[in-house]
Amino acid sequence: MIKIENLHVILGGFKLEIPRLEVRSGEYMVIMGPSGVGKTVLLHTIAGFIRPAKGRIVIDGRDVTREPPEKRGAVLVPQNYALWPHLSVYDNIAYGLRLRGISEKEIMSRIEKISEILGIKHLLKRKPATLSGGEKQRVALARALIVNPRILLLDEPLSSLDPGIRWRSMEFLKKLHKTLSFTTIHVTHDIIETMYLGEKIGYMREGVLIGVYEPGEFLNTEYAKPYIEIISKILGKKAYGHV
Amino acid sequence: MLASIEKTLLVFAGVLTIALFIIVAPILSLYIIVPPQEYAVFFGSNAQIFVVARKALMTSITAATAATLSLLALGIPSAYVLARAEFPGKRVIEAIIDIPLLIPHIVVGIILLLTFGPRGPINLHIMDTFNGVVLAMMYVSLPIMFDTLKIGFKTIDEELELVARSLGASKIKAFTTITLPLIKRNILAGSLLTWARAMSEVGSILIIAYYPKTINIVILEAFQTYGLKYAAILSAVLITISLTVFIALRMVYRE
Ligand SMILES: Nc1ncnc2c1ncn2[C@@H]1O[C@H](COP(=O)(O)OP(=O)(O)OP(=O)(O)O)[C@@H](O)[C@H]1O
Ligand SMILES: [Mg+2]
Repeated sequence: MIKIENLHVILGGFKLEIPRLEVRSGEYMVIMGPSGVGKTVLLHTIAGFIRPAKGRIVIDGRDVTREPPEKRGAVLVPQNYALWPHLSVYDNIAYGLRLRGISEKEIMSRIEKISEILGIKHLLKRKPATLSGGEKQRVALARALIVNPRILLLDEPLSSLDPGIRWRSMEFLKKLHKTLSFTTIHVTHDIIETMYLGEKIGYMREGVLIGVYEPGEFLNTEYAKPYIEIISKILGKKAYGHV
Repeated sequence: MLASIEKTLLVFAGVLTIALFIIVAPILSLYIIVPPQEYAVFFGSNAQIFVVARKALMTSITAATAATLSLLALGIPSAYVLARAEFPGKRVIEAIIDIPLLIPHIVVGIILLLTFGPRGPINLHIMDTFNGVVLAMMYVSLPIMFDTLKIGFKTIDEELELVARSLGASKIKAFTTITLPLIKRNILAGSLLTWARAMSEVGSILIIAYYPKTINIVILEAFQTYGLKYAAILSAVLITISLTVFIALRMVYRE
């Protein structure tokens, strides 16, 4: 569980403001906002790479605002997945466990388990450069999930995938969350992703988190309106075409 | 249109050939002039000049290696800061690092002696010492090492380190397990170029530390005393050693 209170970040001319944000254990939070709104800055601040000017970040009851990234248990999956090119898929996934001093035998059995769930067993010996976008995404998820993060930070996890695989990947993420129920903040600019995956939905505009909504509630806000209009136009046209 | 492009390319290729000829011809002629059995003379002869030359060669190699390792130790943290951090005055610092490239090497010797010599404000005992040789070599090749490492660090996406941190690695752990292995090639290339530059340094060494004699000084002396007779064989040995190191490291570098 993560709680953010009155968080202010100042980066050059850019200001981020999160009055209040709470993600319960096992909850999948999607924060939506256009490009440049500060989504990556928010995730980097939660992870501890950017020091806030003001405010508090509490993870599982512990105030981590002044803690270094490695002590927070907030694991980042960047937009490009950032797999380490010099390590095999297996060593990429094992990295976090090795840091924790876990035995190689235990690591092997845990990797076996998670790669089964993620369907990447056949990739373990490969180097990241040889993987497709979808495969990279699964490996990045395995690398993050294997350490049981207190909170998983997904930075536009679907936007670097081809449209065809994006939808399947979205379904896959949903199933994966059902199986493992990790606590997540997923940021995106895509309304479909937001509506499909979000158990709670946050909306950001000009560096400010405007509010957090239930999915049904979000559809009725003015922020969802332009998208809904486009979708109904598409659906309307289609219906019309069938007449 | 295509024909004219190809003509241009042909002219450029001709220019390239001339450049290659200028580089390779002197080396080839050296190998033609110095017959193979002369190398045995260099390594086996008890003649004074060869005894001195062998010792000087060892001095050059150890000093160049020491200079390279020292610059690596200085360069890795410095280049990392310059590649990653933004701070006021950074451009100035980057310009300062390249200054040694602009100063004539004799002048480098003089200013080092003025500063770190026996009468300088900071006496580092560089006058006619092995350390003096190393310092001179370091001064002239520092920009090469620093710039090569900096380029390496700049090509590494910072998020590769951030992920490691978020998975539980301390800054230094992420640096040694992710960042350093990823710039392995730059470390190798920087070391190679630095070593080669250090081996070929003579101007500043001439001023600071004529003794212990380095191989270039011995070649210079041989040339001044005997003309090309001994200088050629000494040069051939030096070039062979440098080329061997160069090729060996290039092969490792390619994996
Ligand atoms: N280190 C920094 N210094 C100054 N400004 C920064 C820094 N990092 C980010 N910014 C600015 O902060 C703003 C928000 O950037 P951020 O990357 O968080 O946007 P985003 O919502 O993730 O956008 P996208 O959807 O394009 O990824 C941008 O205007 C960006 O230029
Ligand atoms: Mg972003």
